[in-house]
Amino acid sequence: MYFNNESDEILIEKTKKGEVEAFSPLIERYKMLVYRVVYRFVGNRDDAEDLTQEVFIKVYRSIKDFKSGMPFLPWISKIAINQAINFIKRERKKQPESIEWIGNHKADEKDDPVEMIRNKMLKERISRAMEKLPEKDRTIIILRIEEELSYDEISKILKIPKGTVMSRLARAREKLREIFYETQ
Amino acid sequence: MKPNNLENTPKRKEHDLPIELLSAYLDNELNEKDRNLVKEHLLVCRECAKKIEEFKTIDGYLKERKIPEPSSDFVFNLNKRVMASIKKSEHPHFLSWLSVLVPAVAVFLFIILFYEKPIKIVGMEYRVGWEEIKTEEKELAVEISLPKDGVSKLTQTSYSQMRDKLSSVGEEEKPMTEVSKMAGKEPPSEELKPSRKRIVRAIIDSTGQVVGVATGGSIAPKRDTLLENYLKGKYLARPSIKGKATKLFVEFSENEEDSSK
Repeated sequence: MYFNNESDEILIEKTKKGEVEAFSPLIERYKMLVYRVVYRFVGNRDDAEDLTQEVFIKVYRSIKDFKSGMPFLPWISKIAINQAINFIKRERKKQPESIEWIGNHKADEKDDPVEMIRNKMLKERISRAMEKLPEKDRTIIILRIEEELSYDEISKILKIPKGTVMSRLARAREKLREIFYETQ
Repeated sequence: MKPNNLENTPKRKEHDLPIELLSAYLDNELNEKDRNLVKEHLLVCRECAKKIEEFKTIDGYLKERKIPEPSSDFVFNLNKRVMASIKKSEHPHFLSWLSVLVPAVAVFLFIILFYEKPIKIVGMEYRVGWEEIKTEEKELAVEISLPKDGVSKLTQTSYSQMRDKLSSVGEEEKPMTEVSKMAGKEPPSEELKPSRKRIVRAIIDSTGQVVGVATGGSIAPKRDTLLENYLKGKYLARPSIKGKATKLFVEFSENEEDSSK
């Protein structure tokens, strides 16, 4: 594709002007990011893949609204998050897949079966606690802790002041902590 | 960002640090001054130190949530699928237009075939000067053209002819029934039949539709609503004067028909 070396900004401008092919490299660049974001919300690979496709179609249709000169990442993330939130609202009845985990939280876990079981139970508890969180709190926790976005980025995505990000995140963390220890 | 400054907050219990500061401290989102204050506080407050450790533990578990790799179909074909979908919406296949086009054409044809032109109704108050355009008055210096299949058919059917026809069955009052038949209406009941001695006039508009019926020979004939109900709306034919479509007051009376005989 002859557009591959172009910057996001140029690709976006070309797409806006009707050069459909210029959108293709943007899909390549951001598909994993969008997939990861939506997976965090939907917790299911098939749904996350389908939703990623929907997100890119939505991005293309909305690209005329994208303000030139602004960073593309927060904008596309926001669309992905909104699509994911809408998805889980309408598909709430579906049971998410059980959460999978990677790595060992403790270095010596491999050698200690008791520690392994304990660790596994802790992870399951945190998953259940996350499911019990209200949507708003879960969203901000995913954005900050799992997606590791800064307060500034979260502020732009959710269109709320940075101070609100700080207070909402703190309250969400506290709720999660309480639920986590309640389920002990 | 200027978070709550510890120095400005009222004196709290040792462990009662605003949760926002603890959370922001954990995320490294505090300015240096506030960060140092929290750090110092954590050295002396076991409650807050415990809480922040619990936050860290939970954060750590959350970060270990595994995001499974997407399928190879996703990796290799997502781009194609999205682009195909976009192009399809940009340039929809002509067949997809059929679903819109066919009903649209059907509606269009329906309108063309069954659409009735708006008719300017000519009420009795708008009646044209029937005296001036009566076909029998030769002195009228206008050429009047009445279509043969409509009005003329009516005017050429004399009451006397009808009477002759009906006399065989002994029904003197049937002429109006014949008129009604011609107008495609049910015949009026016996009580509704007007006297055949009266002059009956119908107003037809420029499209040939009967819009009013009156009886009486005066210059201001009386509207006959009963008879009008049977004839109104019936299209006779479009009358014209010198080739120009016009509204017309058509008279069909026994005398007129007799004179045309």
